[in-house]
Amino acid sequence: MSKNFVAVAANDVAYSQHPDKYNWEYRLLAKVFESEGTGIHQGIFAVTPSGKLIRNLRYGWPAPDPVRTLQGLRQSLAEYQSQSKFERLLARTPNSATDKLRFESESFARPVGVLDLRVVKRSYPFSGMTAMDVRSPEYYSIDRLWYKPTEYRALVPNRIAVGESVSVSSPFAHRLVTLCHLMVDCSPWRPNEIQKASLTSRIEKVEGDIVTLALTAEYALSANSQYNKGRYGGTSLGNAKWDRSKSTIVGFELVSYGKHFVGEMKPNMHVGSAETMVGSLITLNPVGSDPDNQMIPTHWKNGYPRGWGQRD
Amino acid sequence: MIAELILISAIAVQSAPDRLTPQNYELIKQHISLKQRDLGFQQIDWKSSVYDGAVAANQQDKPMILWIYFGDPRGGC
Repeated sequence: MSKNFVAVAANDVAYSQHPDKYNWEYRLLAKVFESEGTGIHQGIFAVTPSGKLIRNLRYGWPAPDPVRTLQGLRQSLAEYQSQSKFERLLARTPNSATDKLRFESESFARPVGVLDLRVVKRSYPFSGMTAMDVRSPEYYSIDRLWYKPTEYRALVPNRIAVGESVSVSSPFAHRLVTLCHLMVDCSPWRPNEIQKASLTSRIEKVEGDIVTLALTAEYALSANSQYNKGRYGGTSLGNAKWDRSKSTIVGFELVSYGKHFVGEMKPNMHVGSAETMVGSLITLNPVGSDPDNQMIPTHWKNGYPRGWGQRD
Repeated sequence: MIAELILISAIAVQSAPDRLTPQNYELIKQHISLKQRDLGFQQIDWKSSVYDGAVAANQQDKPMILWIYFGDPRGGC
């Protein structure tokens, strides 16, 4: 696809709610949808750089039809190439200083020395499920979980010796739980909805400067707020590697697994049983060029202390 | 070896264990992990703003694919 198209993944709500509706970038996006009524629309679209809608590429929902989508891409490319450069290209090169929208999320950045974890979540099959349910095991969810050195140091017992252990305190365990890193599809959990979140770290092995920590955890959550009426019970197993010469985590893997009850079924999200078995895998963010490397934590705004990741 | 992996994969997808244990740790981890089909989406060089996409598309004289949804389509959507 990269040979013939430039791909953009964007959040319609962030654009719709942006206050600067006169900005060049906003007006370009609004122009795309001017033939389809007002506002920013969700979906997949082929568009010229000049902001002209070529084609709506949503063929099939929730599972796109690959044959029709490929056909739509080919037709879009042909239509694009049939247009004059005057029609398909920008009349002027925009100026990023004045024409690019600034979003609030850009103020939140990865602090230096942060433990950058990637969270992947996926449910198991459940009775009555269809592809219309966000919990279908066909789908996965990726997020980010960040800790500063002062926070992840809580994983390491004070005395370095095999068998030494520590009960890992907040914010490490609480951030893991409250920001919904254990299950697909949920609203965050409030601290008073955590009945149990015990995470223990025990020194399993010491080899030179590398200290291997065995991680175990147990959770019991129950909510009944307007945002979350769910329940969850589960456990975690995993390990972390602490380099004591550099005072940093050089390896991390945590598998969590449990039963999630969706207290409130939403017609556009849930089909079948309200109860699912669900897993979460948390590892060091793989260094590479995957687009999700650019992600910041989903709940950056309300899940991290004020100023935690403030960009200078 | 390959047959073994296919079998493990089939088991992992088919049945949900009662609980996580050291014995089924790898099976559960495998079920959750990103599969080859998941990685296809991740391998596309997604621009994260309409501005960046429009500038790049204009420079390369290519059409844009706009994927617009609530959340971050790179993972959290």
